[in-house]
Amino acid sequence: MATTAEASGPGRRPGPAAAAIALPILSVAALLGLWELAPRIGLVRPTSVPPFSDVIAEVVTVLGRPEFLDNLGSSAQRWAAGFALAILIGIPLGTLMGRWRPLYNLVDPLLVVGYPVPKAALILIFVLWWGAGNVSRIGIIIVGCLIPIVISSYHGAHGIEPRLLWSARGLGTGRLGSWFRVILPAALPQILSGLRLAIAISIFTLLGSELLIRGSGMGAFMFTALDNGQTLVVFAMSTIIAVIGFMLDFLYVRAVRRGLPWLEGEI
Amino acid sequence: MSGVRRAGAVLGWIVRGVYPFALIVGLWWLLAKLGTLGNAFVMPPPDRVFDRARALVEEGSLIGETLITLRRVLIAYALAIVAGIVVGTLIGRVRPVRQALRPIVSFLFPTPKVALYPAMLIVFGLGSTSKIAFGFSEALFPVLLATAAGTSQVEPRLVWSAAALGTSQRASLVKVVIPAALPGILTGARIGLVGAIIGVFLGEMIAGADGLGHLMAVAYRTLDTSDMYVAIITISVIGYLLDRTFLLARRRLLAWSPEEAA
Repeated sequence: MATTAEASGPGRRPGPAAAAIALPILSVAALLGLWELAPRIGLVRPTSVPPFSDVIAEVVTVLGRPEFLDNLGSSAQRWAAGFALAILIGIPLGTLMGRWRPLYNLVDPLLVVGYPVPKAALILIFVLWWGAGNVSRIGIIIVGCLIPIVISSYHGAHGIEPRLLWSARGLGTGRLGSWFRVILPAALPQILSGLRLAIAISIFTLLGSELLIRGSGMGAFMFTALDNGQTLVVFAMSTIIAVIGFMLDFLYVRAVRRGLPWLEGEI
Repeated sequence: MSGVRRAGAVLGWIVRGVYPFALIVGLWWLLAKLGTLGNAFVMPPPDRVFDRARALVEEGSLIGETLITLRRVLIAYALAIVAGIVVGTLIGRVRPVRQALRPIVSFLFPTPKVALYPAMLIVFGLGSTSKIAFGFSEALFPVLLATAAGTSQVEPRLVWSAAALGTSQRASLVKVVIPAALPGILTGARIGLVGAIIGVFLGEMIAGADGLGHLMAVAYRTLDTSDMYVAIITISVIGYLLDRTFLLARRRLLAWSPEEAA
């Protein structure tokens, strides 16, 4: 049994506990310390890179500004609407592709072609078609995160043990019934990892499209501060958005682990 | 029999390769004719965009901008591959490095890198460096995480055998660990390639004086709508070709691996 502990790689061996606690703290402290000191001792200009403590103070100020909350609200609403619609389109499409080969042959080549397209840039084309309103702004998020949702749903539904479906059919479950009760639950682990990827991509698309057409939203707010030369506000917004992006991912993984404790492996 | 089957496979391959483009152009042509999305100004038909692209090629500008963008993408990608594999291997194989870098990497990985674009613009300026930095930041983490995961899961017996045959620890990283982790690394590297393209293109749209992204942003401001289509289609074709090339190269590199057969 000793070999199995070895087989799981050098990471699993119990190391000195002190290093495990000290090293992560030291490295983060060193990074933040460098950010704090470099502008203060003149390694970089404070007007280019403000010290960490100034940025944190500015974060507090920005969080209290009413226009920040307005922009956060409009970004969040569009993101939620776009993400929800992408799920409603992507999961049925992907699972159907997984169970019905002709649909896969029809759709998959389009996904391959669409995969490397810079989706955020499409916002400018959408603006031509639908104006700079919510149709374009929600549409771009759907386009942005549809591919990972469809692909993961496809893989989830494609890999289902056929016996599960035969048993359900044999017990008299209809097509729609077995989609809800067999295919969807069996594909769920894959779909959930796809959604995690989709969250990251959709946030990128949201911010990227907002910075291109401005108007309102977090991306617009941050890049308008950049245009106005408000370096401190820019760094504060960068910090806030980075933390929001990290928290969304963190909370998503936590929620999935909590809600579906039987799920095995990585999300 | 096998000849017939092979001919069928080739035919299927051609159909699968041509069909999506035919469908997209056909749909585009139809929408332009019907005017569903608007008139020929906001939705120029394919032939008009094609004519415009040819005119830009004859002017010499389209090829020039394309090469500028391509160069930035390749530099950003190469840097991300090198940094991702080196740091990823260290994280995967050297415990103190992993302990030190884990909090930083696990914070930066899910963070939208676009949040850091303004800071990078301020630090790296408006020239090529900031665009390369955008592409690098988008491409790095998929490569780095795939490398860290792959190298940490290498079958220990492979490393032991190499050591027993007299390979030093450092040499076995390059000769054993990284090759064994290659399938995983390349999966991350494919995601990183698209990241590099998107980062560079968006960077050129935000700030700068050249490149396909700049062409698109200028066309938007001056309402040369056909040029916008030319720019986004060109970058998409570049992305498609690079992605295809990558997949071909991967098949070559992994010819020995059972995972390639799947």
